[in-house]
Amino acid sequence: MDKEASRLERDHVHSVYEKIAPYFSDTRYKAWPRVRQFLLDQEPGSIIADVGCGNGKYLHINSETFKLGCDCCRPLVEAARSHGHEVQVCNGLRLPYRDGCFDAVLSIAVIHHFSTKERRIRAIKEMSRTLRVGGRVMIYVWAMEQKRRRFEKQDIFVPWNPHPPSSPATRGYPGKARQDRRGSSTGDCASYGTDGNDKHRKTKSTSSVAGEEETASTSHGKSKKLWFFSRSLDSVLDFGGAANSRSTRELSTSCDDSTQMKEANETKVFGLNRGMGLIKQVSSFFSSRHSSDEDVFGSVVDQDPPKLSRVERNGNSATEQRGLSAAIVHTCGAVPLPDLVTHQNIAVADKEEGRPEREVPQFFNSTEGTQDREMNSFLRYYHVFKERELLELIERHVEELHVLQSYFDHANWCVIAEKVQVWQI
Amino acid sequence: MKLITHNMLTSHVKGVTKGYPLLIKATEVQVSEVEFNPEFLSRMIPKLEWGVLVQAADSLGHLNDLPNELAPEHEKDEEFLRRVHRVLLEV
Repeated sequence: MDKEASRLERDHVHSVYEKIAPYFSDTRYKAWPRVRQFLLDQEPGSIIADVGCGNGKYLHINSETFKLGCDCCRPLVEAARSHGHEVQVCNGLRLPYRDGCFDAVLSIAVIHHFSTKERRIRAIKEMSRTLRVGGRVMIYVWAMEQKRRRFEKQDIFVPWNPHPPSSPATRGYPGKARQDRRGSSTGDCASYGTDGNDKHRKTKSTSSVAGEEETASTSHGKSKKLWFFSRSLDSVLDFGGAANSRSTRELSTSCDDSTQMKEANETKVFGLNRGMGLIKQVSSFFSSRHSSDEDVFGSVVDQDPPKLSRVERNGNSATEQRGLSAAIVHTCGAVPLPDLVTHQNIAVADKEEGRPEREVPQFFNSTEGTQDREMNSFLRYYHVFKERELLELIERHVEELHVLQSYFDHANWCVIAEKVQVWQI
Repeated sequence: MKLITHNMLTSHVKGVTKGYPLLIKATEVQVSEVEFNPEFLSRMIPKLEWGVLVQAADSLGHLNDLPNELAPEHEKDEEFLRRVHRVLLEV
């Protein structure tokens, strides 16, 4: 499992960053004010690590402190080194630093690239290991709840688009203003709803490919590109206790669904068969679940009685077979992210048989034509976090970290936590 | 790489039982001037693995008369702080 997760990260995080590294530059990304402030708040003589430092945009802040940076992307580390920073290439699960040597650790836009919950926890624990007692860590992860982007699943592939200055990269979005649509002053919700694109997008997103949208939004001129969604059970499993009965229902549906999806993939009719109907249902679960002021599709879902009634039927049958559902929950729980495993296995099998990979590239065939393979290499994996998810991950699994602050900033969920002494009895 | 960085670095490669400190094999040793900041240094020194710093400096031929043991009230000794500054940040 860990191998697959690590391979996914290698293919869809590490190697993508290596390719897009040349597009990063100092002028492109600005330090976020709250991160800057966190650095400025550290006492003179503090030792700070920026884990996932990229090209080192935070390493020049607060010259009264000593900062180390590390990243798994060699070209970015080289760029940081060329600016005179002390940086290392390393793996986030095995930091090359001694225990307790840092007064503060930064983790900006890193943890969301780990593809299983277990690895996300390990990455946080590893940073915590390097903190002294009383030292603080600041963690930023991309949020699922964003005004300008809508994710139907938590585990997603995000294409990198080198051409417009606006990109899905997590470190700031200097965007170029695109054509302004009606209603932009009220935000992008309005702009989605008015151009009929939403219907298009809804349909597409049910096939795990979210729509191609150049919809521009807002006066900030942030643009939206393609969003590709994987089908993860991990996201379903992570819902937590508050909505137990509901997640059981959802899970049973999505478990069925993953079986269906496998068949769909194997029969090469992905996108057009009954499997898609089920995906649709799961998508609608996700959509309706997160209805809010930001939820641009909430109304669409609500106005779609046939879909909802199918969902209900499924839900009822699942409730009747509660024993069975629980068993499925258990099975799925033991194997996080099974869909990704499936994808990986299929990809490997295909390679061995000399056939081209068909998983993600196929998504592109339908939208991007001939550039699919090249584009595929620019797909970055993210696990987008829900509200409180990061907080609870730390509180439940990393006992030596005590969360001091939790907030939303620049489309990220953020936590500042302090390392406390844990007495082993 | 500065010796202050070396002071933090360790190895977690599988099979390595003693990953700290790392041995230095220097191919080139440069000294470059960095602004002297006594407050930074006096706060930094207690956080260092002092023995490791001394050993590393010695192995590069830049011991700069650093003592094996830290003297009490060393933070008031500017001449000492300047020598640490050189070893820690400029080599």
